[in-house]
Amino acid sequence: MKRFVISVILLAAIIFGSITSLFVFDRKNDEMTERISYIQTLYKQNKTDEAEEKLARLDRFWNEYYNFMSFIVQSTKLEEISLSVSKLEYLLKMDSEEFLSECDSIKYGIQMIYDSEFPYLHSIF
Amino acid sequence: MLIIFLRALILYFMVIFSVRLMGKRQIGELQPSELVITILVSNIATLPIEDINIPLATGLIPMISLVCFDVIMSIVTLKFKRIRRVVSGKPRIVVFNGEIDQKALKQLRYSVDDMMEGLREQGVFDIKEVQYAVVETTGRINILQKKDYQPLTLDIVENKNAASQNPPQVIIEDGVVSQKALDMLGLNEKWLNNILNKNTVKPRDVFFLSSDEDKNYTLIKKCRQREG
Repeated sequence: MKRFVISVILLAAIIFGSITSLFVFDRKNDEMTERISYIQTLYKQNKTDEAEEKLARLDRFWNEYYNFMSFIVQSTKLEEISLSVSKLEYLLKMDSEEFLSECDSIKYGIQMIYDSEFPYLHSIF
Repeated sequence: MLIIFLRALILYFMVIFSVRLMGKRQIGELQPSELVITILVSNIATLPIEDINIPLATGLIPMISLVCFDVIMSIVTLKFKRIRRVVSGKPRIVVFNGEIDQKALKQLRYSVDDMMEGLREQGVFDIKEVQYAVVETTGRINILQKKDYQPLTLDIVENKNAASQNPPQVIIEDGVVSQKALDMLGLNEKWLNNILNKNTVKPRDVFFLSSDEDKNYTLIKKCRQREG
């Protein structure tokens, strides 16, 4: 009976942890997307200094986000986004046309990761 | 390298924990579901050790989940005999009174060689000596030799006139009466009620009751103490 109780507790903890992580994942994803969209708006309005400052904050946020996601997502998927985030500062300074598309690719990448973790019927089977 | 070492260390303890959670059973006595779980656990554990791109949780969660499912399933099968039959199957008699049940053997996909090997492992080389040979749910063959071929014991000498050749049947298991066992032994409910009255118990209070054709029975009452 002791084993049964331990098993039920462990399973409950796994289910609770999985659902909670999805919620946290979703919230952090939204925050990341918002931050990137705001930087894109600033860039379009030619507010480069403010965009640079926000970009530095985005970089810190991404590091935090990366640490959280590395517990559940394969690091190869995260490395691609890390590379894109690290490119942003350079592209902004160079006023490159690629800046906006790189921002979009980050948004797309994190959404893809979230979708791959969400238990849709097609991802289960 | 150090990452792999640390991961291996964590997974080692997790595998030990998982095996302990599954409970004590010798490898040869694993039920089919337990064997599958054991193989799966060992397989799952290797992936995050080898590939550091895979998060450790990806290995730990399925491993713990599988073992927990197995423990829960074992408790459920303990309570419900029908589910136990589905999950673990049931023992099959392949030899009765020196004669092979060919149909049972075919259904089990056992060859005569497999069966004879099982008999030889039990020290029996001639099928005529076998009263009962049962293929257990673990795949092991257990036999009961005919009385004439059994080693002489005091019990056999004292009961030399006893007619029963067949092994005792379980009549009550965890409070559930088996009418089939009663029929097989040629006993009836009246006899069962007598036994229960004599021991001042009701069927639901009996953990185990077995009897042979000579009405020699063994009764074990249910233990009221909670399991540790």
